[in-house]
Amino acid sequence: MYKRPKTMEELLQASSLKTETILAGGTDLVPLIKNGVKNCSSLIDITQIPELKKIEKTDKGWFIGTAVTLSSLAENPDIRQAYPALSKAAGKTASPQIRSIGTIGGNILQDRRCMYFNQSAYWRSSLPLCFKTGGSVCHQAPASPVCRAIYYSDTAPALCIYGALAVFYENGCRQTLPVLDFIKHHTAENGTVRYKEILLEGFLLPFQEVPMKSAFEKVSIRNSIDFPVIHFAGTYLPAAKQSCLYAGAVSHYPVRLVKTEEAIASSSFAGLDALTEIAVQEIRSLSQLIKEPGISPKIKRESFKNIRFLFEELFG
Amino acid sequence: MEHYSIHLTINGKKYTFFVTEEDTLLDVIREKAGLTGTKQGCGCGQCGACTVIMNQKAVNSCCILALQADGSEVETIEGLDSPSGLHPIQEAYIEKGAIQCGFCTPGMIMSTKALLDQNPQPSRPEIREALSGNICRCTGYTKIEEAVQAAAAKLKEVSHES
Repeated sequence: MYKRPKTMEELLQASSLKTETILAGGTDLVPLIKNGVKNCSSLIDITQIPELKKIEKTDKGWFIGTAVTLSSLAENPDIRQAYPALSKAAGKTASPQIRSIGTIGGNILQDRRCMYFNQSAYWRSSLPLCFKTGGSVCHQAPASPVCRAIYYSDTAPALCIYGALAVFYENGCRQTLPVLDFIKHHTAENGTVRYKEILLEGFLLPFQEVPMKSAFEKVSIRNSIDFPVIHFAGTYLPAAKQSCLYAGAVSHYPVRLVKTEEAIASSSFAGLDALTEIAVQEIRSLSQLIKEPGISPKIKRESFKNIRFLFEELFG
Repeated sequence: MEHYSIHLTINGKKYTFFVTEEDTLLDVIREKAGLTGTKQGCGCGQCGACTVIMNQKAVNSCCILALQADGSEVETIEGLDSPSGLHPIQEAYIEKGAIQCGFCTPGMIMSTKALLDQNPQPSRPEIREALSGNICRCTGYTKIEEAVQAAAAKLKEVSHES
């Protein structure tokens, strides 16, 4: 069954049974359907609903609809000026082809990835089912009681640093949550995500009352298109020495670097090298690395020091 | 499995196809329209061999369900050919030796066309960015960049003549 509602009312009615899978760009979902880890027996395509495709200034901040494509977001001059790290993160996600159709909502709601999960059904048939496919083991760490798959969204840390709120419907009720809480809320149980219960309307980015510096840096093996090896996003308010720093692609969710923020606030470091070392140690303590295609955990740990590029942009 | 009718305009020609929820735009282009110039590579949006232009944007046709494309205008590599001969982009690729095994070429050319339609005089970094979603396993990237620059010059010449 495939539905393509034209209004929010039609969408809310169509999705009320919680049996349909929400489809926007499909760049995450379609490969999973092909790999036999998701079924497409009932899809609702939300890309024809005008409210979900708009970027507009409201009295509470900028609203970005869930079906706004990543290319539209990256090219929007208002977003580029007000939230440059988000604009850069959207422009650094995947390839031009994927950004043309992939959406900000889909990027945030993407499934966590793992080299044992993102495989064809035939490939996976030689192994017992893992947590993400309804089994009871994590092939990355067989003794682990939880799924260790990693969340790679490039735009997530950028939304987090600006204090963005996710606006969504659940059980027919319109709700808001900070983006990080929303990403956690989207995880149903041990590695699996709620494809059917949550209907994301968009994101509300509060106005920046005092202009802050903000930046986004991404490290990937293939510079142009790859999922990130690691990425960083941060804001900095020089007058108050106040910062907000996130690192992503190292755990189930983007991790906030609170100790590094405290060091910046108290100026308890001597130069960027020392600050980088503090951040590297904090990322090491918060990260939960797994085996990934093309990169070992050891090499990935080496990539943590690239946070220095973020610092250079924020403090330079 | 249900069947749906969709309407597509491919290379200026209107089509109606009957598809299922599982059919991709690539399936329709290759198997139903018979336009096999568009290639299937990785099947998951990483190689760009299946690139077509949909509603003026380069997209991976392997990652778009046919139902999502209903009502769209699609341009494939076959749409560049004309009775007067090859398209200037195709000529440039041949002249610059930007084709080796040729498997990535249709996707590369469609990404090139999407770029030059929007930005007729791209810089080298802009060319690299626009083609970053296309992999050439023969690794002939330098020649491909040169071909895009040559194609831009050819198209500029054509537009001045007309």
